[in-house]
Amino acid sequence: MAPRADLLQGTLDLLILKTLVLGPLHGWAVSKRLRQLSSDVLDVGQGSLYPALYRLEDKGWISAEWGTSPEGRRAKIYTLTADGRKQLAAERSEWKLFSAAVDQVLKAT
Amino acid sequence: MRRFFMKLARRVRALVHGDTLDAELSDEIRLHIELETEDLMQTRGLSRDEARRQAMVGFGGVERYREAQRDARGVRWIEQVAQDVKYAVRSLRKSPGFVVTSVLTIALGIGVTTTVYSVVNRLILHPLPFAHEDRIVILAWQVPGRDVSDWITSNDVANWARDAASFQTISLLDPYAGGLVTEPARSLFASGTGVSPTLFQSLGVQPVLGRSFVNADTARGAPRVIMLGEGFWRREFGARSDVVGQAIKVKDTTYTVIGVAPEQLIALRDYQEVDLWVPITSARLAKLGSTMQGIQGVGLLKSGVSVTRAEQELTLLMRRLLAERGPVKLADAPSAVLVRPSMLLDSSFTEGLWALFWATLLVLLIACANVANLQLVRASRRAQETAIRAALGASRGRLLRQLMVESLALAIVGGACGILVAWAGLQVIVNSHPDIMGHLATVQLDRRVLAFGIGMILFTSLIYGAVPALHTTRSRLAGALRRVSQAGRGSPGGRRLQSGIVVVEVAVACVLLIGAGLPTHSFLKMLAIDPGYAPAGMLEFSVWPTARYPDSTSEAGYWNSVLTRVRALPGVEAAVPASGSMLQSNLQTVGGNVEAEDGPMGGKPQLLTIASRNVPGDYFRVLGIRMLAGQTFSAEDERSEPNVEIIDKSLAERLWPGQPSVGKRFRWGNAPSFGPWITVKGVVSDVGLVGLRGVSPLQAYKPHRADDVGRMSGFFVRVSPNTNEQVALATVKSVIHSVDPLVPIPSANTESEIVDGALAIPRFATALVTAFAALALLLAAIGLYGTIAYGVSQRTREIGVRIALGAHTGDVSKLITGSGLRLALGGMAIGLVGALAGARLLAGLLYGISPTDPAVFVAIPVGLLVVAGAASYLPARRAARVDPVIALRAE
Repeated sequence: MAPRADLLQGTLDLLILKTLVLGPLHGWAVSKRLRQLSSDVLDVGQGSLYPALYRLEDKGWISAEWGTSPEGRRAKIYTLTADGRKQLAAERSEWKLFSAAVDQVLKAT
Repeated sequence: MRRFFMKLARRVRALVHGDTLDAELSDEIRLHIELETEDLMQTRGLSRDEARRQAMVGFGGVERYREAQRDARGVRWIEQVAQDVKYAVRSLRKSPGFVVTSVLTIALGIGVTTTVYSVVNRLILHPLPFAHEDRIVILAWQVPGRDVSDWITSNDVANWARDAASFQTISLLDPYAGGLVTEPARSLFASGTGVSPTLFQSLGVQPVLGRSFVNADTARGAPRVIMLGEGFWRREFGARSDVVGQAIKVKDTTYTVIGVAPEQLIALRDYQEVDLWVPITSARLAKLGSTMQGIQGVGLLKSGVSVTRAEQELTLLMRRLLAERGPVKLADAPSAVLVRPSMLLDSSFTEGLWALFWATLLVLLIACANVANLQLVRASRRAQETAIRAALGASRGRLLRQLMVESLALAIVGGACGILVAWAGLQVIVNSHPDIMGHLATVQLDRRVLAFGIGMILFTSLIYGAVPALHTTRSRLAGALRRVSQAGRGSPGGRRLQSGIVVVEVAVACVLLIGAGLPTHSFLKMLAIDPGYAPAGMLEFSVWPTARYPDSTSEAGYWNSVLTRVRALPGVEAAVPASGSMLQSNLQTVGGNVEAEDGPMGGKPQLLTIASRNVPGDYFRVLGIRMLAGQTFSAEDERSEPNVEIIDKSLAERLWPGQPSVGKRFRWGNAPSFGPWITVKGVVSDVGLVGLRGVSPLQAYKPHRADDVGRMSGFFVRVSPNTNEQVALATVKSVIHSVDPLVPIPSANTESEIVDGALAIPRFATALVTAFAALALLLAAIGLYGTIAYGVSQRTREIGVRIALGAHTGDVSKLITGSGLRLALGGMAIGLVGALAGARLLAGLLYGISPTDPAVFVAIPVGLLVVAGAASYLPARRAARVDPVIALRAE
């Protein structure tokens, strides 16, 4: 099993939004996609995934609808909304700024 | 915005469909685990069971996660409150004694407060029963340094009505439009008010019957029309609907009745009965012109216009009109003043009502204190439960909320009962005193009163709920659990808090009792006023023969036959006419400079207001007025013109203090124009409830002369002591009628009724205040008793030890009683200070005593101490009977 990293507080929203950019997914697929994209480094605890999904839905960044999953089952499918796209862009640039700053500090030895 | 509504919709859905959402969530979780299981089977080649196990482990605690998810829905607190309510109801059901006591106490507190508030609301805050009543103002004006006057000139009103933009309408009231109503078989006096036709529309008032006035009714030459007042219509016309269209003769004018005006209109006339309403005709307005002869203006402000702005506008218009007539000095220039009708009420009445209202709030405070005390007792019994729940992880906020929900539940039940109490109390007030304050009958539990009641419910639950709740949940866990093991002994902090509450209760009760004691003592003083005559067995009538007998000979003839017939009645001892009855004591009042010959002021006149009446010589004997010096009028005085008068004691004291006054002379006027010298023929006692508000002590009596016409309108009859006064009243009235049915008799009363009537308002107020104070005393006594009794029950073990160690029962009861009395003394000390400060507010309402009346300030604390002693002694006696063996074994 690949080494796993702890998720930094606040980055989960960003990651979920990012996974949904490529298209609507249901809950399990979000976590699966996340693992794939991070080469199994990032594993979202499901305990935080669903509350996060609900929170994002509440904020209007994603919308949810009951539909049929690619596996042919009834599933709640999450889609990125226009607001969500904006939010993703905003969080992304914030993240870049932040990680660059952290890098800079670490290199400054 | 749209997002907000979407959010709101989601919250509502979360609340209403919580179960569905939970189910959806379960579906989602199930799907997740299934997919994960299949994934693990494929990618890792695990068996289905193993894959499923790992998937579940990976997911984590399903329940914990569900909770987190529900929190994210943002409705958790509402669900919890619902839980709290369920819990509160369950826990309250377990202690019915506590609930009944608390509910009754709250009901009483809320009940009296709401009752009195409904009176305040109707009489002071919203005195006019009309639509837009908050925009109705009385037009008045003021010259710098003088009183506000609401008598305005017709010209001013015409000017305002034409040019003022702040008003929707300005209507006029002409209060002297009444007079003698003559019908074929009877005649009676009716009060009347002239009004502008706009009045009815602007007040939104509908006639009870027929139509109201229109502008055409005021035109020159228009047919004269009239509306009957509702009361008059019921009283004199038996509420017949066929009065519309009838003719009615008032003074010399014949009117056609067009309708009946509703009773509520009299609110505009200070709730004095108005029998007739007529339109103010343009002829009448032209005649009034700029004379100050009694016109009042009622304005309806346009909505959104402030009183200040309207005042400024009217002032400007008023001064412009003045400036047209000639130069005006700014210092003397009048300003317009708009008066809200409530301010027209007698200020002492308003003050008294507010005092009563504050008193009821204090009663409510005591009620709250009592319930808080009960809560504390209950909380210490539940200390174990609270501690365990805290140990199991209930947060302080959660525990606090639960206790508050309990308090609120109590308050709602108690408050609902309280509003019923208020409703009942209102019936009592309205029914018992309709004649004192006619407008009390219009008091009701309306929207505003209900809102007040609900506000009070929330307020009380906050007061009596928060203190005990904060206290109970503050105790630290370890301590609480340890104490629990000691069989509910109650924390020392709890006892301190309870004692504090009792001290406050006693203090408030002390303030209230003194606040009630002062007016009561003042009322006793009023009862002891010497009326100066003998009211028992006296009947008093107003009889107005003038209209029928315009010359002195025929009027004298009328009086002679009345006197002959009345004196012949069995039981009648004497009868005498006079100018004016007691009720009209101030009708013939003359103010001016009076110079007393040989007086201590030298030749300097003093400004006096003297009420005078013309009386025959036997007036004083018949009424039982004491001659203090000199003699009554002789037959000689009634015939000739010797200018003699009889004055009362107060006037004699003012003119010639400390000197005999009979035979001395005084005259009216200033140099150089004086009236003739008047010789004092006798001095009599002061008559009437002298010293009470509005009763002038200075009276002078002139001899009745045979050639006086239209002077005699009062008639006094003395009946023998064992006669039924009410029967005699009716008999005499019918005998007077039998002489000439067309002579109106506007009033007929027994003198006792009149004296009672003068004292009715103080009597009523005293009774109310005393009732509230008694309630406060009872509640405070219960609070004290409860605290001491509870203390005893908690100290049973200690008392048992004391007795086992040889303490006498006397020592024990002294110990307990002492602790109760200490609390009471502490409360009384605070209360006395508060009462001393508060009593000054009552100064204006007191008669014959000072606000620091020593009798009250001694008697009340002593009485309170006795009650406190009794309340502490009962539990003390029980403590003394504690059996040490049982007490010690109980641990």
